Amino acid sequence: MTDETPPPDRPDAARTDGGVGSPQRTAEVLSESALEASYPEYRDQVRHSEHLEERDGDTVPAEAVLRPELAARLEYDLFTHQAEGLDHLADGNNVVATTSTSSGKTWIYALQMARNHLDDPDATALCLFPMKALARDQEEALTTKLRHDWDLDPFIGTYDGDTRSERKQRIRREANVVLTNPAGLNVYLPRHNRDRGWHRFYSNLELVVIDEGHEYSGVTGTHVAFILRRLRRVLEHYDADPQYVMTTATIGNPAEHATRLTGADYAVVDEDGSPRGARDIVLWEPPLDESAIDADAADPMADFEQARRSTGAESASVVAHLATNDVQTLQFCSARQGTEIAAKQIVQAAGDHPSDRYVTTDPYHAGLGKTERRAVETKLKEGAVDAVPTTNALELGIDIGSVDATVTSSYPGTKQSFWQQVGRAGRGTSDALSVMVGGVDAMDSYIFENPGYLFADDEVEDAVVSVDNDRVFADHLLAAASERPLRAEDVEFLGDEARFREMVGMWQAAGLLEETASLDAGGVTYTGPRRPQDRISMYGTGGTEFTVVCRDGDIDHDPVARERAYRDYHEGALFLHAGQQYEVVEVDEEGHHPTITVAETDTREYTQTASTKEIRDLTVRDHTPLSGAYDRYYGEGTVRIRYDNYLVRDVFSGEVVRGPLPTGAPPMDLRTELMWVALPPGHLGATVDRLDGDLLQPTDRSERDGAVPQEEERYTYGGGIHAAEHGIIQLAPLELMIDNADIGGLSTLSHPHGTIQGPVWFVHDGIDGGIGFSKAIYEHFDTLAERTREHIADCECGRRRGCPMCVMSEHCGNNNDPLDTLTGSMILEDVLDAMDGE
Amino acid sequence: MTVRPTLPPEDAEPTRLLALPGTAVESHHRDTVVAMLEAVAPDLVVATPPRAGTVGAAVPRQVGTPVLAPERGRLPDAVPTKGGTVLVATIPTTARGLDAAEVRGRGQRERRGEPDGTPHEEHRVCLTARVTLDVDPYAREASIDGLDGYADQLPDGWLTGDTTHCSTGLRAGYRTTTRADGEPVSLVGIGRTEASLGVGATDDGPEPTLVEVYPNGAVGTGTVDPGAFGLRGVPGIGEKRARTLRRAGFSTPRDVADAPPRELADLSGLGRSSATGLRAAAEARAHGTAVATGDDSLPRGDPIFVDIETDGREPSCAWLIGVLDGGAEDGHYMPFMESEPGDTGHLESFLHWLDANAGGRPLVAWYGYQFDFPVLRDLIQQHYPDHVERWDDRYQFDLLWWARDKNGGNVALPGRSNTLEPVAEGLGWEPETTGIDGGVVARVYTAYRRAWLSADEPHSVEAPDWDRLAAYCEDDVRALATIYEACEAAARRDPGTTRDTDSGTQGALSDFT
Repeated sequence: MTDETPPPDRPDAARTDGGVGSPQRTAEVLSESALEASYPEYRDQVRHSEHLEERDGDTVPAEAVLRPELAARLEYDLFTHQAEGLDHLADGNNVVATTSTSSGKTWIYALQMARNHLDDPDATALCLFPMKALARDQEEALTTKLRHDWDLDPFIGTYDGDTRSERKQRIRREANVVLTNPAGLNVYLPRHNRDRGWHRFYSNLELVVIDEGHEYSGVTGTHVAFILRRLRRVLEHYDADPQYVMTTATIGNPAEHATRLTGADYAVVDEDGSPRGARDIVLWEPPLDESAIDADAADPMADFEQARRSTGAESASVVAHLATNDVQTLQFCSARQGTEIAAKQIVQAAGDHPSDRYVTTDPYHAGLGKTERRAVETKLKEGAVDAVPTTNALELGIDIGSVDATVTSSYPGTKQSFWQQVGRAGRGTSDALSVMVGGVDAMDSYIFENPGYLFADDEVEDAVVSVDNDRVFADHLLAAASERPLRAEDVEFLGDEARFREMVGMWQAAGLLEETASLDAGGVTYTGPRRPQDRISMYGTGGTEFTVVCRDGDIDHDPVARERAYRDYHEGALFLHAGQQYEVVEVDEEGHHPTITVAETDTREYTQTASTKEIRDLTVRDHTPLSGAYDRYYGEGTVRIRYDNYLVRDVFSGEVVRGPLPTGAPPMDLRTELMWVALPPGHLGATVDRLDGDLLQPTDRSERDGAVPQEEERYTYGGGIHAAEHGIIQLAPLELMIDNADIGGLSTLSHPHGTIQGPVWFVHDGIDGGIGFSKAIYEHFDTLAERTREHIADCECGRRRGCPMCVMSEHCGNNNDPLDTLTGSMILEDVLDAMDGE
Repeated sequence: MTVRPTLPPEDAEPTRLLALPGTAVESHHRDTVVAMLEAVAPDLVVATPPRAGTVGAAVPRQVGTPVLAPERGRLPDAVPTKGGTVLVATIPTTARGLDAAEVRGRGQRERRGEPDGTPHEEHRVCLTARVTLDVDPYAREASIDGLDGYADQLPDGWLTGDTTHCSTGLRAGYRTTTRADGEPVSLVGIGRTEASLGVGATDDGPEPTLVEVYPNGAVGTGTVDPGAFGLRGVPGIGEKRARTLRRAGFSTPRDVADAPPRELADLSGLGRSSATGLRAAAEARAHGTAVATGDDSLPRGDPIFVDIETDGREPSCAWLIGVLDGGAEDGHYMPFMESEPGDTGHLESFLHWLDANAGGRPLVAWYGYQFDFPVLRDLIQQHYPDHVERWDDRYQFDLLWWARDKNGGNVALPGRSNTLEPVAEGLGWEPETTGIDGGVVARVYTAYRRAWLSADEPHSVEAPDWDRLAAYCEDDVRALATIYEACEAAARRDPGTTRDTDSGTQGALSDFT
């Protein structure tokens, strides 16, 4: 990675290089007295602050680990975790290093490259980075270390879509170290035996580095896992048996994750020997105007958001306060806000600040041109800008030096991401300061209630990656066959065996693999159109994927998988992207290149898509019986979703401006993974009997929604089970690195499947074929259910129908109706009791 | 049990069907389509989707090729060909079963007006729209759908080995043998599939496909690019230039070849140098000759022509290395052939032969930089690593690359694709073997290898006709030598002609060479 490592035996280096800051604690700027004195209308927004003490580093003399020849070239000692990693590598193991940001994980693989190079000047190494910019940064860092500092002469080169072809040719012929990204490897791999350079490179491969391995989860993770398996298969052909080093941010399951991604086994290095500066973390909650909440709001979610000061505006105000106090600040924006808007808000907020100081600010995001980005990076390094609002583009290792403070505008979704952002602050003799401004979300709310979650070392999310998606597997199998004929022994990389053989048989019957060939007798060749690799998209599971184009200009938007397109990009849909509002004007799924055409717009409206869902063809893959007719299941099934119509609502009032309007989207079948919780047949009656409160009255809206029961008991209980379903999905990312926009749910009072006798709620992957999310939720259900129960019970809203901070979801297809936190808590409690008795 | 593929009988005449998608007709000028039909000269055209309905009108009466549309009509339609020995018939999607006499009757009445034909044809080709492929990656199954319904409709006795069944519901080029009513059924795709083929399908629409059906049931398929015919067949002439040229009264390659260069250069969008290049390319096409367009010379030394036969386009072996030492006509052909599957002794013999005979001489292959040379190197590295260095030092020369790509191209060649045999045939060369291509050879070999490696007594496995396969490879090296000699002659004839810097419109090779 990415870490700008202090020289390893000078733990204080990072804090003696500038001396820009004042000697006081930066956090003083946010002390209660300072805020009351100078923050505009301070209303006790600081909910929590935590001071993290400085920690010294633990080191090992380099000569204890490295041969004298190499140790002598190092100026400093090694941190203990670096030494441990190198020892494992010397013993022939693979290593996954999961120590903190900026702990010098790079040194482990850089020194291993040096060792390999000294053993054999022809030895090569392949390094994979999640982003092109990181590869370039690391090319520089590795060149400095290996060639300049350690006086070795390996040829190091970045090889990706931006590399010129003459340079590429030279790298293929001569490079010892190639830096690229997994999508690049996917398309370069097939040339392994058509080019002498690659032939040489793979034959001599001693080390494969997978940097920032936690980045590979979900759909992308599934693809990366298969690309790495294809790589290993090709390497076996060359009798190359490299060692693997994976670095990752702190995750709960480093060994498991590394193994799932690569199929190899790993030794874990997680005892961090690096020093850490002191820092302060402040949790800042935007004020809520309770009196503005309307119990009968047309869109309860929007109503709540209206009543609360917006996270973006509040963040800008905090940034302005810091900047006017000479604290250079990086603001990490949420996608909804956008950096351009944030920059304007900061200038405005600085104008409203009593200090009346002018604040310079420049936005930073991937959409800017290279020159513009470099300019902002330089200004940051030189202290020529007070505040920079940025997307997560600056979260990962781009060299900007360090700033005095960071402001995170709503929880970024993972602890890894949060700490990466925090890690950007801190220099000179002053302490680092980081602020998180709460967003309108169950996760933010949970963290503000339970700040310990952020600081506890033993509460770290597991990375989730799956190789179970058959559609993705089927595609990579064709890619593998086009790289080398498939043989029975490939099961080592592409197993399990039955699945491998069945899928090969399927493609043979479909005419894409040679039908007359056999895995056991000579191998099976690829017979389809050339270069199937080029048609693999890292963003989807092989279904239809839409390109987003802007009618009146450029838009830098990732391709959209059909699953999301139907929900969020139907004709007439409004959406925000990088701070700009767009309207979808045309969806073309017919042509060879499905396209979503959008136009820039600027309205006071937003759209909300309603959906109905059916779940059928369930197959049970795993079952956990609980006591008393409660059951938990994991399996596969078909989810048919209809995004039939949508409403256009006013941003401020939530009132319907137009609609319901037809989306024009056809029904969509997802063959995907699900988990479900089946409750006992009489649970509705039993729960209503025990209910310590009134039954809820069906809303006007629900009367028009055929899926909502109108009878009060059923309506209320339906709200409870719906709340439990939402709550678990919303809090799942606290336990698992998953994007809950790619999870869906369905709760219903009855379902015809044989495993279901009473009410049930489902959680399903929102991606065709599944990406392991529901399975992970199934496996972590205990913790998630417990956490959800606590959170729903503790939510400050205290409202039966909940709020966006507990059970409301922006992705709900029923306008968050019905929801009942009271019944929901009872249902969760019963399930937890049944789990205790299992 | 997989059915092993059959080779066509020697010197047999196939029935040639051109499966022609409506979209391919619509996206090309009428002249181009006519030029394609005249050059390919199929026995009949099959209108295929998308937009099959537009095909009929695009085939002019004067061309005289019958058109069958299996997706249209409620009644069967039929065309007897090959002097009545082969019947091609559509089997429309109707509920009822059909009677053989009724199907034959349709063909005779409507096409020939003959009251009584020969009722017992040797072979039949039936065309349907209802046989399709379904692929379900979640069930990990691919299955043929619609076969039972189709079989019920067929006249009795037509579900046998003397009938080939083609469906527009299967993608063009797809071939399989399945079973219905216990009988092996040979299925051939002539259309497009709705099956989810993942990354095994491209975004491109279906291309015209020539299907050659032999009386013994052997089938060959190959795509035909309409853009390789008429004016469009001249490298450097895309649709836009073709329009300009047609407006100026040039409608065939011959017109362009015979035009004074200045007249061409005066046309809008054509500079002097591209006009010269176009004229050379047109001359090559129109007169079936090689025309020099560049300054690079061919290698010194007597060339050794090489062509390999493998188990596929991404191969794991080269079981036959064909070498021609000498000229196209009288050179000595040496097939270095595997003695049994998995054995590599022939590769070693080849390397020894090179050591003894190839000092300083160029090894010439067609598309060799992309296929033959790296494949051989990979195999040498695996099996005879001691030879790698010498192999790397040998002069390896890719004639296609030199002619088409090196410094913008050195020789314009005729032929309706860049593959070896069509180019040589464009120069007037004729093959000794017919009905075989690289894909067929790879499939025949692969099926044999499978049987051999799976058998308890491998030597009892029936071997393919090795002589014929070796003769096919010999054809290829002789074709290669023919092209080489034509290039040499062209370079002697027109030294230093201005070259065309336009990169041309022909795409990457997609077939075996």
